[in-house]
Amino acid sequence: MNAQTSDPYREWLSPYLDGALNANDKASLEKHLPGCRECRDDLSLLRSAVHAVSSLPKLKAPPGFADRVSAQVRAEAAAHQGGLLGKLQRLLFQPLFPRVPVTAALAVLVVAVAYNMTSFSPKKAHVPVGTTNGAPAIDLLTKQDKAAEQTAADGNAVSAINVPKAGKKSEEWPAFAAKGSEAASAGSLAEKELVRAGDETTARSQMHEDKRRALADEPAREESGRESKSPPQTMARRAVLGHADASKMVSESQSAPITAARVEAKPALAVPAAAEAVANAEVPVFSGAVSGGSVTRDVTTASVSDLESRTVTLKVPDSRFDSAAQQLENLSPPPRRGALKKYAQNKDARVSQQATYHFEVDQDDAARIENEIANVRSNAELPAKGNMAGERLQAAAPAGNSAGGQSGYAYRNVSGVAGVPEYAENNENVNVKAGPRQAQAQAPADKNAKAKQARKRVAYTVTLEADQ
Amino acid sequence: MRRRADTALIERALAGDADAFESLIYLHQDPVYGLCFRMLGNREDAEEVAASVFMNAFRALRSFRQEAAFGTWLYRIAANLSKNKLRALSRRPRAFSLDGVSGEDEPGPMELPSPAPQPDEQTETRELSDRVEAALLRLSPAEREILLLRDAQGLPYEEIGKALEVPAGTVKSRLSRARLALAGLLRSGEGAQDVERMGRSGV
Repeated sequence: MNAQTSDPYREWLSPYLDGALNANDKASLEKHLPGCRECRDDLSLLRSAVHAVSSLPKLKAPPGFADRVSAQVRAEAAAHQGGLLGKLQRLLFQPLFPRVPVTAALAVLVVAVAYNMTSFSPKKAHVPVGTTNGAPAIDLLTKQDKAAEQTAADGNAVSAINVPKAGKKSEEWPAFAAKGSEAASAGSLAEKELVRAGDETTARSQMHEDKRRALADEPAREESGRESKSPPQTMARRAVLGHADASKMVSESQSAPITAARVEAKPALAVPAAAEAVANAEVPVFSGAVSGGSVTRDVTTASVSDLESRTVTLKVPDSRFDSAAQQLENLSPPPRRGALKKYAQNKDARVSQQATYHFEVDQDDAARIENEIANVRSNAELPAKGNMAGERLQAAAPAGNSAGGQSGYAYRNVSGVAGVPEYAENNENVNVKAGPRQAQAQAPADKNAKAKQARKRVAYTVTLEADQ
Repeated sequence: MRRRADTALIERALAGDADAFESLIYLHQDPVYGLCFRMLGNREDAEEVAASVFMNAFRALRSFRQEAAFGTWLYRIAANLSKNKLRALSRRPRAFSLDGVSGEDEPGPMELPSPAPQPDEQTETRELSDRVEAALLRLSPAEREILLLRDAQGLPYEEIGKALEVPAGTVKSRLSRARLALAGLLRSGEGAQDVERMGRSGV
C-alpha cells in the first residue's frame, strides 16, 4: 500500500470493515470508493484477510488440559502452604516445566544469608544449637518441606522467610488452600513469593541460566531436596550452610550456648526472580491509562535493594509468653499477626506456644524496631548463658560491608550478590525486554545509583516461642 | 455477562477458592490455547505456553485490575509468552535438513488440530485453513497477534489496545498493515482464487 492520493481514505478502509468509523468518515469513504479503484482493491484485500482469519476453525484445548493446569495450580497453592500435603502434591504434580528460578533464588539466598549473619544485639545473639528451630534459617529455606513437617516448626518455618514482595506492596497471591489441607496463615506470603520466584516462564529459564550459575557455584536443587552446594567457605557461610559444622565449630571454640534468640538478616530472597517475572510483563498489570494517544504503564518492578527481610526468633519462658506477645503487638507500626499455635505439652516438644508477627518499616526506622524487639526479649526471654559465639559469628562476617549503619550491615553486599538487573522496557508495543545479558552488563554501573535511590524497607518476621 | 461471571470467580479465587480458578481455566482454555497455537504453530508449544499463561495469571491474580476483561488480560499474557517462546525457539540451533523438510523452528505447515479423517467438504475447508494458518505464521509475531485478536478472537479495538498496550491509533494502523500483508501472502499462494472469492463475497 504505497502512498496514494486517496489518503486518508485508505487508512479508513480497515476500520471501515470493522464498523469502527464514525458516521461522517464512513459516509465520506463510501462516497469516495466508487471513484477510486485502488481503494476498492485494497478493500477487497482487507476483506479477504478478515474473512480468512475469521473463518479459521475455533480450536479447542487438548483433552485434559484444564485438569492438568488446574492440578499444577493446586500443587503450587499447596506448596505455598508448605507441609506434608504440599510436598506430596508437588511430588505428584511436578510442574510441566523446570523451576530453575527457585533454585536460583535459593542459591542467591544461600550466598546472601551467609553475608548477612548479623545480630542486632550482639550481646544476646547466639548460635542456633539444639533447639526446635535450631537448624539455621537457610536449612529451613532450602528444605522447607522438611521444616514444615517438624510439627513445632510448622508455619513458623515458612514464616521465617518473610521475603519482600516484588513491586506492589499490596500484591499478594491468592492463598489457595489445596483440597484437604489447612491454610497456614502464618508465613504463606513467604512461600508464595518463593514459588513465585520459582515461576518458570518458558523462555526465561534459558535466558537466565548463565546468570544463575554465575550467582552461585551451583544452583540449589530445591525440588529434589538435596542440599545446596555451599559457596566459598567462610566461617559465617559454613555456619549458615552446614549447621552441624557451625555448631561444632562454635562449640569447639566458644563453648556454644543454648540458643535463646536468633536474629538473622536475610536478603531479598525472592526478589531476583520475582522482579524478573514482573518486569518481564508476563504478569501484566492493567493499571495503565490510555490518554492522549499514549499508554502509561504502572509496571511493577522491584529493586533488589528495596526490601530486606529479617527474621527474629524470641524464645521466652512459657509464663512470659503472653506479656511478650502483648509487647510485640503494641509496637509501632502495629504488626500483622501471624498464626498463634499451641503445642501439646509433651516431653519432646521444646516449644509450647508460638506466634508470628510481621513488621515492615523504613530502614531508618529499623534500629528503633530492633531496639524495641530487643527490649521485649530482654524483658521476657530466658537468661542467656553466653554470647561469645554470636559475637564470633558476627565477627566472621565478611569485612568491608559495614557501611550503611547498624541495620544496613550487609545490605549492599546482598544487593550486589543478587544483582538483579532491571529490564529496560521497549515500549514498542511488543514488550520486548532487554535481554538478561545486556541488562546484567548495565547493572554494575547503575547499581550504586539505584541503591541510593531505592527507599529501603525492612521486613521483620518475629517468631515468639514459649519454651516448655 | 461473561465479564461479570469472571469477576465473581476471580473474587472467589482471591479468597482462596481453588475451584473458582479452575472454573476460570475451563472458561478460557480454548481461546487462550487457540491463540497460543496459532501464534506458535504447533500443539506442543501451544500447550506448554497456554499452561504458563494460566499459571502466570494465577500468580498475578491480585494484580489484575479489572480494567480490561479477564480474557483480554489472559490474551495479553498469552501474546507475551508466545512471543517469548518464539524468541527462545529462534535462538535454538536449527536442525539441519537435506531434504527441505522444515525444521521444528521454522514456521512450517500447521499441525492439524485433529488428525481424524474428514469428509470432502471439510477437507476443502481444512486445506484453506491450512493455507491461512501457514500464511499467518509467515507474518511477524506482532502482525499475527493483532490479526488473531481482532479477526479470530473478535476483540474490539479498545481491548486489543489493552492487550497489546498500544494506543488505539496503533491498533488501527497495525491491523490494517497486517491484513494487507496476510492478503498479499494468500494471494501469492496457491489459494489465491479461494481468497479472491472470499474477498468478493464480503464479510
